[in-house]
Parts: sequence; C-alpha cells; structure tokens
Amino acid sequence: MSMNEIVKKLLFIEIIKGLALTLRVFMKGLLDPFSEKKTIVTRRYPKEKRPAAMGFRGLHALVRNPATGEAKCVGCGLCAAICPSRCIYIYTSEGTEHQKVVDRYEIEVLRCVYCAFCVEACPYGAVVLTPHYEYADYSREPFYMTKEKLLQNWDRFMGEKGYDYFDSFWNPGTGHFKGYEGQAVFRGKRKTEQVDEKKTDTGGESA
Amino acid sequence: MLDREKVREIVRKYPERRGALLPALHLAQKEYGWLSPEAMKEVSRALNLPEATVKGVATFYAMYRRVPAGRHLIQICTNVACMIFGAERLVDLLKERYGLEPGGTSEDGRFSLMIMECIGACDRAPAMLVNEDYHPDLNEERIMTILEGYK
Amino acid sequence: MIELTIDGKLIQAEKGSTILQIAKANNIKIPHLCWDRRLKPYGGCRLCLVEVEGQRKLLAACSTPAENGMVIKTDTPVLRKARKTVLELLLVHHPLDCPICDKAGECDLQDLAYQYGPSEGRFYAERKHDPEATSPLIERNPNRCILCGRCVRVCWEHQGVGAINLIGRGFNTKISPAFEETLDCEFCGQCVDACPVGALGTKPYKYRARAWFLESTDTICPYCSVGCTLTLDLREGKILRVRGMDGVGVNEGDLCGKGRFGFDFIYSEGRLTKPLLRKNGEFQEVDWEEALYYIAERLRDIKETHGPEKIGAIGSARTTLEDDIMLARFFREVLGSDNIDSSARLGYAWALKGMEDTLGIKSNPVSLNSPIGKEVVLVLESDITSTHPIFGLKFLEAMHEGTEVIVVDPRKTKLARRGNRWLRNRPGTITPFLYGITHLAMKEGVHLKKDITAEGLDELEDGLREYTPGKVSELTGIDEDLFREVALRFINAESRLLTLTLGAAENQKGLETIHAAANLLMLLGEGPEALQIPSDYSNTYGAWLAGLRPLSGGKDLYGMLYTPGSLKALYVMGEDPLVTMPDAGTIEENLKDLELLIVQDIRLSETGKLAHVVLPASSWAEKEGSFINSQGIRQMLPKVVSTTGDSIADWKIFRNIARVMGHDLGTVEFSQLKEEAGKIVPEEGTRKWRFIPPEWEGLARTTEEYPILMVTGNIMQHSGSLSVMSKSLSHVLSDAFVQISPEDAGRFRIGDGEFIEITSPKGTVYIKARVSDEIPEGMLFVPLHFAHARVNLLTEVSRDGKALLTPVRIGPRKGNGGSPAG
Repeated sequence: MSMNEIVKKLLFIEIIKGLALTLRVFMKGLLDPFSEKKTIVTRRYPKEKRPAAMGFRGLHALVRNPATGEAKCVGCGLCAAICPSRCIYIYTSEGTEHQKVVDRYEIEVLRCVYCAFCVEACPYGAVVLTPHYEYADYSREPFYMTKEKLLQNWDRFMGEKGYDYFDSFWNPGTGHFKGYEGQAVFRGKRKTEQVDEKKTDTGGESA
Repeated sequence: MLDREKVREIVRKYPERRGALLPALHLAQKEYGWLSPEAMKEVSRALNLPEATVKGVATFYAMYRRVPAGRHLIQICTNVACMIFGAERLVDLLKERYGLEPGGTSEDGRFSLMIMECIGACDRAPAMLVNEDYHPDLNEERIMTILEGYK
Repeated sequence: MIELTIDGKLIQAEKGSTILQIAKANNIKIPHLCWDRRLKPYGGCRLCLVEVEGQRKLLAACSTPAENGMVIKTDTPVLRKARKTVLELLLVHHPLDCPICDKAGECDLQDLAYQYGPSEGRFYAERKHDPEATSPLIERNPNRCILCGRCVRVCWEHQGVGAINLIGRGFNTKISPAFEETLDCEFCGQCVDACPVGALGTKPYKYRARAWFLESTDTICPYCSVGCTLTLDLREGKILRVRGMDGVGVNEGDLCGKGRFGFDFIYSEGRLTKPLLRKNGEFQEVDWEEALYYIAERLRDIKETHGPEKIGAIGSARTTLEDDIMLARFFREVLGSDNIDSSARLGYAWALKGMEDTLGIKSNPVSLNSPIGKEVVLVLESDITSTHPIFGLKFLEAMHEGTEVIVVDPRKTKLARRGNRWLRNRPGTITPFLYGITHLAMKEGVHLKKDITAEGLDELEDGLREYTPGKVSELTGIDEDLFREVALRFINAESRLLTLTLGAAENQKGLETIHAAANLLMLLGEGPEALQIPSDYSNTYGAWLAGLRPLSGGKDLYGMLYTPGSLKALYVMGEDPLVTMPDAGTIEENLKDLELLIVQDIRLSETGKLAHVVLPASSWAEKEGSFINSQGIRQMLPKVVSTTGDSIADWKIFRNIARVMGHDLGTVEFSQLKEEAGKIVPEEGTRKWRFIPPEWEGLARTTEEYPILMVTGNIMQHSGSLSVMSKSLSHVLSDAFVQISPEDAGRFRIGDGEFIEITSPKGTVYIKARVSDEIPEGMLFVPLHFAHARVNLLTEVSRDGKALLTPVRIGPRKGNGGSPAG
C-alpha cells in the first residue's frame, strides 16, 4: 500500500467524493421541478403512473355503442375463433324482434395472452384492450369478465378517448375498405355514406 | 268453376302433368279474367301439382294477370314501329278518355290497359289487341270507334 | 367406358356421367352452388364452368355430359375471372351480414368469395329488405337468397312435396310458399341442408352458436327403423342441431323432420331425474339405493309366493340392443321368468309370422334401395313416407327412374298424390284386393309359367274362387276395370315389389294381409326380396332378435296386458302401453290389479303414473349402445351428452338390481354386452314355401249405430309417444286430432277445428276434428301419439293378428264444451 493510499483512507477522501456526488444529485432533484432539463427517470409508482402507449394491451373492454348505449358486439364469434388461448365465450340467442341478442360475452382474463387478435378480428371494433393494467387481485373471481364488467371497463378506462383510439390506432378499420373512384353504378343512387378520408397515419409508439 | 273436362283434355296432350300447366293457366285466366289465388288453387287441384309450382309459373310469365282486369283488355303496342306512328299518343288519349293508366283498369271496370311488346303488326302500325281481336292501322278517331264497340 | 383428361390427368369414366360427377369422383374440385347430388342438373349458378379444348365457350360442368377424348381444364386464369365475376354479381344483392348470419363459417358462397373473392365490388348494391319469414321450425331470410333453387328442387324433385317455389321474376323473385303464408309442409328441413347460403335455417338453432363453436358427432336416429345417421352438432356438451351429411349413413344425408328436429326430447322438462317410489299413494323422490332394495325385495316376495311365471316384462322398441339383452338376461337368469315381450308383438311380429308361414323365413330385412329399378311397385295401405320417411323417398326416386308406383290406400298420402297411380279402396280392404290379384293371376295362368312346388296351391285356388274382379271391386270400392288393369300390370311386370308397414299403431292390416301378399308373390315366382315390410321403430327388430319375446312358452304381450290376473308383477322398460297400444281401457284395469308395477322410462309416462316404482333411465345420446335397423344392420350409437339427473343406462339398472338381489349376471362392463350383442344373428328359416288359403273375415262391420270406421296410425311429425316430448316437433303439432272427410263433416255437421265426440262400444273420447280431403267418406284417421286424447280407449285388440278397424259414431261435442254451430 503506498503512502498516497494510506492518506486517502485516513482522510475518507473516497467517501467524501461519493457523498459529494450524492449531495449534488440530491440538490439537483430538489431543484428539478424548477429547472429546464428534467433529469429524473424514476417514477414514484403507484403515486405516479406511467401513461400507456397507444395500443397498449391491458384489461379487456367491450365498446359501448354511443347511439344505443349497448355493446357494439353482435356476437359473430370471430374473436373467439381467433383467440389462441380460447378464453372468449359468447352466447347468443334470438330476441323478441327476431334480432340476434348477445346474452353473454365472457373473457377469462387469466388465460388471455394479450395478443389482441380479438381486437384485430372484430369486424365492428367492438372489443378492445384498454391501457388499464392495474387489476391484480386476491381471488380468481374478478378475472372472469362478464359482459357487464367489460362494458364498465370501457366506461372507466376508455370512454370517449376510445373512439379516437380505434380511428387512429387500429388500422385499417372497416371504414377504410372502399372502391376506386369512377365505379360503375349498378342500381339506385350511390350511398351517401362516404368513407372518412381522415388521416390514417398513426401516432404509433412515439405518441 | 274451371271446366275439368277441358283441363283433362289439355293434360292428355302432354306427356307430363307439368306440361299442361301453361295452357291450364290460360284457361283459368280466360274463365276468370285474371288469376286470382283461388283460380291458381283450382288449377293446382285440377293438375295435382303443388300450389307453389302453379304460383311460381304464374308469376314468372308476364302474360298472366294477377290483378283483377276489366271486362275488356286492351293491349297496345308501343314498340318502335307503332311508336313512330303515334302509339304513345293513343295511350295518352286512352288516359284522357277513360282514365286508363298502363297496367290499370278504368273505374267502371270496362277496360284494362296493358302495354305490349311488339305484336308483330309493324306493317300496319300502330296496332292493338282488344281481348283477342286484332285492330291495325289505328288513329285517334278509329281507336275511339273501335272501343265504343266494346261495352 | 370413356377416357378423358381433366387438368392433365387421364381419367376413365362411365359414359353418360357429367364432367362434374367425374371430377368429384376423382377428387378434382370444381366450385358449384346450385348442383346437388340428388337432383337433376340445373346449370343455374355458372360457377362450375370449365374449359374444354376445342369449345369456344366455357361449359357448365354440372350439365355437360363427358365425352370420349375431352380435354378439360378446371382452373385457368380465364375460369378464375369468370367465376370471380359470377360471385361479384351474386354479391351485388347478397347482404354482407355474415357476422350475424348463422351460416357463416360453413357457407358455400362465403368460402367461394374468400377463394376467388372480389375484395372490391364494381357495382353499388341494391339489397333486398324483405322481412324474415318465420315458421315453427324453418326460417326463411329472402334477402340472403341467391336464387339457386336448390331448396325448391329438393322439396319437389326429391321430397315430392313442392311447398316452396321461386315466386315472381327478376330482381323481385323470392323463395316462398304459394301465397306468402306461413310454411306448412312436412318440416323435413331438407331445404335447410340444401341451402348453400344462410337464406334458410332452422329455428331452434337460430342465433344459438357459430359454426366454429360446434363439435360434430355422428349417431343413429332414435325414431323409425330406417336407422339414419344423424350428425349432431354440440356446443359445450349440448346438442344444438342435427344435420344430414351428404353420403353418410344408410340415409346418405337425407333426413326427415323427426330426425332433424326431434332430438330435443332429451332436454324435455318432463325428464325423470330421480327414482320415484309410491309411498301412501303418492310418489316420492328417493335415491337409487332405496328404490333398488324395494324392487329387489318385492320381486323376491312375489317370486316366492306366486312363482316366477307371475312376473312379466315389456321391453322397448327404442332402447338399445345392449339394454334389451340385459332385460332378457335379468328376467331369464335372475327371476327365471320367460314372460317377456315388446310392442313388436302387435305389428312386426305378425309380419315375421306371416312370412314364416308362407315363405319359410324367420327374418326378412328390407333393403332401402329395393324399389329402384323395379318395373312396378305396389304400396298397400301404408303411408311409408310418414312412418319410414327415408325409405319412402326411395319410392319417389324409383319413380323418377321409371318405376311405376301404384298406391292402394283410402288416404291420400304423399305417395298417393305423387305416385303414378292411386287407387282409393275402402279402409281395411287391402287383403281382398290382394286376393283379387292372386285370383286373376291364377285365371290368367301366370303361375303355370313357373314351377311351383309349394304346397297348398289347390286350397288357395279353391279359396280364391269367389274373389273375382267384380267381387273385389264390390268389396274394395275400386272400379272393376281399373282393378283389372292394375292387377294385370302387376302380374305381367318383369320385376315387382310389394310393400306395406305393420305397426302397433296401425289397425287396418294384419296377419292375413301378409299371407295374401306372400301368396301372390310366391305364385308369381318372387322371393322374399319382393316383399318389403320395415319394422316399426329404431330397435324393434333388435329387441326381437335380442330375445324380448317369450322363447320357451312364456306369456306374450296379449297374455300379460290383456288377460286379467295373469300377472302379479310387471316390469315395463321404455314403453307406454296406455298410449301406444290398443284397448287401453283393459290394459289400465289389468295394470291397476298388479301388486308391483315397475316402470323404467326417461319421463313419467301415462303407464308410469300407475306404477309403484318409476326408475329414471338415461335416454338416447346419453348412453352407448346399438340399434338394429330394419335392414338388419347393427349400428353403434356413441354417448354424446351427459346423463340427466340421476338417471342411468337401462342395462346398468338391471345389473344393479341383480346385484342387490344377490346375483352376479357376469356382465359388468359395457364392452362385454357389446360383444354379446355383436353375436346376434337373424334366424334362418326352412325357406320352404307354403300357400295359406284365404282367411279374410270380411269388411269391418259398420252398423247403424256405429257408421264410421276409425283407422289409427302414425303421422309424419310424430312417432310413437316419444316424439311428443320434443318441443320442436310439438311446435308443428302438439294437439291430438282426427281427420274426417268433408262429406262426413257435412253429414254430421262438424266444422274444421271443432271438438267432436267419438264413441265406440268401448267408450267415448273428445278430440279436435280436421276436415281433410285426404280421407274418404266413412273413415276417420286418428294419430295415436297424444296421451291426452286417449284414442286407444276405443280400439280393440286381436290376438290372432287380425286387422281390427274400429266402427265408431261421431257427433259434435255435447255438454259444457259448447255445441258448435250448425
């Protein structure tokens, strides 16, 4: 051991250096809210939540149709067909007006692998994975999602912003399929429902 | 009532009962003036064919009338030759005189009007059929005189 | 044989077959929508277009006969473009409601659109917006229809019904019954299977599941003895629908309404879930242990005090072969009683006896395809298209191929309407009709052409002397010349077939009819193949072969049910004698006298209500087993769904009772029973022919007091008392009715739908009247299926197989029901 090292040890030079760094960072942290350059990367979860990126695949929800207040789902079963973990159960029946009624739409969340194939498969944009990810619980029961629970999920975790979410993230949507201009018109008038020409580029991950 | 003997006579001419369907329907139409559901049911019974078969055939051919017709049926041609010689004017005239719309019946139930596709009388256009009588070389006066003959 | 090339493959084929048929046989896929194996080529959809070398145009493969040396291409860019265009045009009208449509996932149009698919339509679509037409069982959605006409053609060409047709023309064409009314047909549902899109669907299945949620299992139909293969579609262990699979099973994909819609009897609310034991006059639910110990004890008591010959059993024509074997073994080995019989005694047993008497055979399995290729087929007072619908279809098929189908029946049945010739005889006079033909055959000396070695010919000739055409005409009510013409046609035909049914529910034919039919055929030199008598129900024949009949001098059904005091204990398995057997009054009295009545059934039957113990059995589809159909083919049934409540399979119940009684029957496992059942073979007879002289006793006598003859039988939508449990079939028909001719309705002042009173010497019942020109004057036709009508209170039973038509009198219902107008 050299003389130099001994002196350093005796005078706690290294420790003081380290503490100085700590003090510097500490002071920076104290001043951070007032400074231009944000330097803190740690989040104080769960007080401070990380915003989910567009297309984050969290808890499931059924889209509420703003026109009727009911679920958009018609029970076509494509989500159940595509689901690799077979965790979607749909039960339909005939309603009083001979219409198709979705009696039960259930997702066994614990078996879900969050691939979001169901969302892609749905021709009506009726099922979605919300950005909500905090749903740990102590029993299995809360993870069995019924239609009512799934609709509540929509209200709580998606709501209004959900419609944008479909427009700008899940592309192509059904509305994007259209013919070319100058199509021959066979009969009757061309339907007025023009496809929304809105921008189709997505915010993507950078949003 | 449909004359069963006549129906049998028609049936005898064809190897299959279904073959007799068109002439039997014509017979019924002649009898009743139009093919009412009852008339079709009667044909179905007479030929021992399902009602649906009879109805299917009756609704396919334009020659069968499925709405009640007047006492006399005017069938007027408005194809090219007749049109050039003014058949359309005659149609308008009928509307004016008797309130006849194409496909309709006059209020007093005297005439029914049907627009025919070519009746093969282009050389003597315009022409029309009243019931089964053929009247060529029509003009505004002639058509009126002819029709006055049908009460 | 011709040789042609399809897609570069050299193929040999039968001359006369179409390109599509050859391609199908050689696994070359050509798309098609309007083609159906069972129908004549139609060439409507233009999807099966193929390129043939040397032909300028594309040809429709379904309707172009293949020729020698043809070079055919089935998949070229040109064809793909043509097919794509066809699909595009179809999709102009076809709504894209696949997410809602029940057909999605198994839709031909969807599959083809996916295969060739225009993802962009060049046309703006005009869709139809017609309302859906509902009916009890079949849903029509005209908007989805592509007008291929398969349903129409199946209904008319194949089923011979013609309930629907293409009505209208052009864009407005739609498939509909004649006058837009609710569909009123047989409800066979063949149109639903034929529909390539979702325009036709079954109501019970509507919106219940998507095609990809279903698992399919094949099983055998529990209703009639044809033994059709049903394809059950299940979701999560529940049967949702039944389909016929093209080419699968004896039925090759054809099904009737009972098979297609009648499966839901297993989900009936009336199913028994627990054993019921009568305590102080009331039924109480008990557990199996208590019920079994009670039965064991009582049976032991009765056996000891009265002897085993006082214990009897009635088996079922619908339980599996394995169940039947177990019942027979339980009775013979444990109880030592030979008093075992089944409902076959009242019908099919007489057919077998009749054939043994004459043709010397102990079994005569029918062959479904027997009518095809015959010159003349004679159907004798039998509504085969109702009782054995798929066998009935073969008669229509034969007719299309040139067979002359002659129907002799007082009722205007489907075959009577569609057959080449229909003779309306008086009810119950088919026997003299046959005598008449036989007489004529003898007179014409036809038999001399064949070597007839059978004995009894002289007696027959003697006995038939009086049955001259004139006399027969007088007896049967058929015009003499017509009779002579038909008889000679039958006699002089190159090949011929006689067919009739003989069932417990029918009372216008009997042993003497079988004798007469066999006499005639033997005289004409025909063997047993020319006499086709199908057994009643799914396992009637099997029950007979499994030994559900007295084998060593035991009491038969007549001895057990109709002889007072003959039994002290009766075990009834899966049968409801009070509903399905004649003279219910006598049966009821005898049942009430019993010390012990055990009824083992899937629901609390009318007979069960009189029982001391009722045991819940698991039904069809809830247990493994096998049926022997009328062709003598043993077909296995898998267990498809779980059992209802505490019910267990019939054979297990017998095993358990035997165990409680201290016997080990040796059979513990199903596999052993299955093996045993596999060893059952039909008995051979001596094959020695013998003529039986005529024994007909004359027309059923109507009197001043009882002027009308009542005929009982089965109808299309129901079969025995089982089908009444089915909700779907009950939607079509749930109430008892009696068919009456318009003439009689006028004479007795009875209106359609009114309740009438039918009185025979045995009693009176009240029942709804249906005026129908299917019935001749002086006859009533009553289906026996409905327990509440108690029609069989009126009928009589004959112990020697005689046909016993019941003379009755009718009148408007009197008393508080309110007298109808008139």
